[in-house]
Amino acid sequence: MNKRKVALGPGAASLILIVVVLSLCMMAMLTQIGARNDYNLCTRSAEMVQRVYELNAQSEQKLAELDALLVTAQKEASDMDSYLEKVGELLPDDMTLDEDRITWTEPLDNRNLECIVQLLPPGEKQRTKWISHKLMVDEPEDDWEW
Amino acid sequence: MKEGSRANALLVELLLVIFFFMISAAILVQVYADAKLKSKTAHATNFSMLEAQNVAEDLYSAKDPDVVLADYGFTADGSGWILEKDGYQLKVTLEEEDTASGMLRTYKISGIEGDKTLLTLPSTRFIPKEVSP
Repeated sequence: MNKRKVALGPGAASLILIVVVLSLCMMAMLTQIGARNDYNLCTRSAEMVQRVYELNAQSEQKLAELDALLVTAQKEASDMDSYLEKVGELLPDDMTLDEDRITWTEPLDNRNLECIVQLLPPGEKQRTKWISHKLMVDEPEDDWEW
Repeated sequence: MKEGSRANALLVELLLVIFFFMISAAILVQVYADAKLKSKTAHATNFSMLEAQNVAEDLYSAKDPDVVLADYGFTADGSGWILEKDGYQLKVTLEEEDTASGMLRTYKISGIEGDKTLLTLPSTRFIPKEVSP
């Protein structure tokens, strides 16, 4: 007649299940949110870096075009003054000549790379020298995706 | 009899609880696995980006790019140079384009995880050549 009494009442197991599953769900959700935020941040950061490198590549291509133009100007000029004058005539509209410096802007989406090169005297192997690569960002904070 | 039916009810309840717990656990394991995968990809993206930037800058200023790539540990294969890292690989390919007064040399440095390309950085440099007047 020594009967064992059941210590767990009806419904207790269900209650424990609810508590355990809710706790696990909460932890899983927090882990998922953290991982997703890390992933988004890294992806965005990689995109930004990629755009900057693309802008740099564009600026080098533009420099190649400018260099071809400088070769033409050198062939037709005898001294530095006539060289600069000739360069001023041949320059495309998106570039400006200020004394011996040429300035232009490379746009890509909402980023602009302001480029400045210095013209070196005619006769040298290298016709230009980089002076500035300035990245300008035109992006209001409201446009950021969270 | 009354005690026996109570024990049976408890047994059924326990079975149901275990059943639902198993279903919940299966779903939650998938959520954790997905989070781990995302975290791994983020880690690979971040580190490949940093490494690719270093390689790009070194290649831009290098006189002999092959030496730079060998110093980093890249090995040449048919289409370029490959560097195996922890969880990702870096691939460098070269494109050369002749222009009117020089050469445009572009190194494309890609971070790859499995079959997925994480990022590609172009490192372009214009190399002027001497032109006789």
